[in-house]
Amino acid sequence: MRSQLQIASNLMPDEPGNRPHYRFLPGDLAADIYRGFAGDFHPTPRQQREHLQYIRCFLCGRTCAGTCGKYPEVR
Amino acid sequence: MAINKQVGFGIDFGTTNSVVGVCEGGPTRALLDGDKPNPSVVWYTADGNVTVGRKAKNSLNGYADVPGNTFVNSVKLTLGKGRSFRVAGQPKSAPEVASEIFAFLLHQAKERHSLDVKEGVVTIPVDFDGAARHELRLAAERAGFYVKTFIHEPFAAVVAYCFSHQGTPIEDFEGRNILVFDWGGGTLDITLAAVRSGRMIQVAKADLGHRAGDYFDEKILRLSHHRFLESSNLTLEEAPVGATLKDRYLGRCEAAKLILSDERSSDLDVTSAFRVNGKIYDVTQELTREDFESQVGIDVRDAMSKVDSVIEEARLTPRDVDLVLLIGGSSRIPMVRREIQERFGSRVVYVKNADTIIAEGAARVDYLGMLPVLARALGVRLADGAFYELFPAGTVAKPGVCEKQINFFCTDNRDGEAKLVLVEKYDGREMNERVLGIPVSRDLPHRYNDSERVTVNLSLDEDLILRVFGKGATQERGARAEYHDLLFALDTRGVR
Repeated sequence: MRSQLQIASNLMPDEPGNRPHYRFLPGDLAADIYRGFAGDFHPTPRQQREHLQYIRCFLCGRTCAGTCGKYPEVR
Repeated sequence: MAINKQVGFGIDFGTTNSVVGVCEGGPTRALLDGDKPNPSVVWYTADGNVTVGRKAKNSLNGYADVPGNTFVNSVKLTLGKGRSFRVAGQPKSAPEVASEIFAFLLHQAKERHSLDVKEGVVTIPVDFDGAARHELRLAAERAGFYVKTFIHEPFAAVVAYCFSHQGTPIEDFEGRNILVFDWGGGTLDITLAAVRSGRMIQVAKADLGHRAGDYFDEKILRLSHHRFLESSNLTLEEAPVGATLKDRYLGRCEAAKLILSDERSSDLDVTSAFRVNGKIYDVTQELTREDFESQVGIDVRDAMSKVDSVIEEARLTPRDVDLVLLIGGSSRIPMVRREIQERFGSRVVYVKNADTIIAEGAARVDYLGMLPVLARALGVRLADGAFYELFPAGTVAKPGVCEKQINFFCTDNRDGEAKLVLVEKYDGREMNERVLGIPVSRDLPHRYNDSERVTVNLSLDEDLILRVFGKGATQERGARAEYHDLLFALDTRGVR
């Protein structure tokens, strides 16, 4: 049976176009290092999205990415 | 493409038979023993004599039981597995035994055909791994033969067929999909090849492990032995099949199997097979085609599902396959032919020179100086999901050309491992993912450009093995891996 899982790469070519490196850190790690994107750190849209996925939900207490159902529906 | 020599040589080093192919520009030919290929059997006698080929095979029945004699069959299956054979009390490695076959082929070419065979192309099964390729090269070199390159056996068959058909091969076969179903003594190799822009490409491949002719012989032996025990009221302990009897018994099973390709039944006789309490027993049985098919039916069905999976992998249907080449001894089994015919109808070609087509294709490849090229682009999947191409499709697959060093940085080192994901790309699709974990520091970066650098070296060696070594800048030790399942194509542009 073919696996449905895929191992994600964590490598980028060390080329001038890929600097500074922090732009390619996963959102949760970048938030960890740069203290929740405080100060002059500007996360990429992808990092912001990833960061939100890993943030602990204050309603259910898990990293539910808003799927816990306890969050009030927004209309 | 410049023709770089007067005579091209190819060697099909087979599990059951081995053949040298010759190409001098016109039609290719094979160097045979009479009208048959040379059995890959080596016979060592107690006094140190070595006999190879038909004479060794024919002596199996009379001499296998004589103390001091050692017969080695199917040595190809043991290459790369670190196995050795006991010959006159001394161990002999698989490459040493295999080199006797190479030496015999070269000697035969010189003595009978006045051809000095020193170098050429050697064919290998699709699943022949790196260690096996390396030992095959060692065996050839030991016998004085330099392997210019390896090419896959089914692919050699496609080359031979294309070039021998109508004389204008590439133009005729451009755009076509060709399925090679090669079921020999040791392996089943299924290759789907396509000719695109003058390049013969292996689009997909599959194999069935070692379920092939030799395995079928063992199945017949088990059935026959079981029937013998039942009819003679003996137990397995009283009449076991020992090592020396086994070779002789298998020889008879193989002969019966070959007859069943054409006849509905065959005799299976083994004289003086067992001695129990002073009484000698012969095996005298009749084997029908139904008996045989009941034994190999499951293997044939599995083989057909492999055919389906190869076509599916290439995103084609059986209707898209323009030609099916049936080669190898086990392809003569009526049940196999029936199944293939049901799927592909009149597009099936029963190759007349099925025993020699692979060697002849290899000789053609050598004559034209064709080299394998990468069939698919090879690259790395990056952290942002993009494909970073290292070697484009069509890159000549030889040392020095397929060689690269790249510096990466690790975007997420929390688990202490950089993940190098190598992928092939064909027809816009990424496939055959291979992952190498390279140790890196777990210390998090604290400056904007401070992620750990990882240096990766890739090189393809002469045995078509991709060797990869990666090392993190902060680490003393790196990680290495070998990949031996890259697909190769042959660049035929300019070849007439």
